[in-house]
Amino acid sequence: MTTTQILQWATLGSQLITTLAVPVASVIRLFRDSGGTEADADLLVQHWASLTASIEARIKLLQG
Amino acid sequence: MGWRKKSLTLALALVIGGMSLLGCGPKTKPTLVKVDAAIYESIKALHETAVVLGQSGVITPAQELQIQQAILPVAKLGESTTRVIAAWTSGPTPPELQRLVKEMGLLTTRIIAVLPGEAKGKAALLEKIAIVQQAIAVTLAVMGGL
Repeated sequence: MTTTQILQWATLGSQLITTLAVPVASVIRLFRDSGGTEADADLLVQHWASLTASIEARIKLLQG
Repeated sequence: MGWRKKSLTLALALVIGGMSLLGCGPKTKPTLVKVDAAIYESIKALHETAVVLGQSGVITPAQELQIQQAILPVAKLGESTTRVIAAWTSGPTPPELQRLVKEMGLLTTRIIAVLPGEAKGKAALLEKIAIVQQAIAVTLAVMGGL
């Protein structure tokens, strides 16, 4: 499961709970049964570094 | 109670519950990576939303600058936390990850404070923040094994 899929899944889960009143336990069971993440921590370090660089670049631009 | 208020209340309850569960018992590496990945996606979504709102003139450059400056330390913390997770083998949840989750919660409060009253773009950011909080709450609740 990719990081984007995790967030999409979690968002969908929230909507099921809040708008369709699906029991929290059922959503959690569904999520858990969908399998674990294959995300690699080393790859995630690179993603965080890219995000930090992007934020720093934007701040520099805004500061003119 | 409106659906938005109800949903935010639920999210808050889940965040508090999830945060307390995060510290309980030993975790597996995929669990920690999954929580970290969800937080990464959340911070990235906030950064990109602020850029879009800034570029389209919905929020002022000064407001966007304040928001990006609030996001930056959390992103740096995320990077260092992920290095800890990458080196982690077993045992309780690293305190760095618990701090990151806490900072994520504080960040949303800081962003809301940047946009006073009925400022333009506030609704869009609040909506994104609500989704982010719900996403993290659900992920943490799942990871905590409710």
